[in-house]
Amino acid sequence: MFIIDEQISREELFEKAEVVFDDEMVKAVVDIAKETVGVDAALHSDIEEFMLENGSDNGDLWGINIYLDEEGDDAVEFDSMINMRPWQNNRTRGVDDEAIRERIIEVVNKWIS
Amino acid sequence: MDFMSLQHADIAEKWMTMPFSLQMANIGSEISRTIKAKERNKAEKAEKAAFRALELFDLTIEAYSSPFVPENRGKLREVCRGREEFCNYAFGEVDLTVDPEKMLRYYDQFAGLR
Repeated sequence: MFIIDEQISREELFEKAEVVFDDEMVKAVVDIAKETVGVDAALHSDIEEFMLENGSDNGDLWGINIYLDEEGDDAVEFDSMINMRPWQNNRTRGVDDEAIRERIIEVVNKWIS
Repeated sequence: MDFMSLQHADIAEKWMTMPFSLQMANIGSEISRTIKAKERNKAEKAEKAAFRALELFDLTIEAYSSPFVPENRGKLREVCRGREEFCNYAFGEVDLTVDPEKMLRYYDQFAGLR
């Protein structure tokens, strides 16, 4: 499990990651305030905990799946149980707020090409 | 975390210093309500109880992460994983790996420690 600290291609990310699902997907958690991306665990909640330990605030963390071979909008899937936060008006596993989805993509693109 | 937006706004401050066993026992109560409602096919009731449980999970996460100290690592891990397991039960596709009785027994242990 690690927080991406230098720009990396998706191919490099998948080579480095130890936990890859079906050879095509890694789980990630994005901190939209600190603009960081944590990756590489079997559970989003494990990455969430790791990022909390590293100073993230729970409400800024959003779980996604990153696909190796998909392009455009299909490369990032907004689907994680950590996203279910009724108190933030997010009542699904996705990310209901379009502005937050755009922010997540912005942060992902900052680190992963 | 904006306490004023919570259903549990009135207890949020107190929750921050509540003993871990009491926090988990209270979460267990909402999990129990969720399970009972689901078993009786009361979808709306189950969802409301599940949302209350999630709020308590997130208050507990807040309590042990802001600020984070290494002594709380174990508790934080338990709560984060427990939350994901509960969500898999309450909101996931039919997940045969989540045994609701076994899940509830884990939280009932904390009620016994009160």
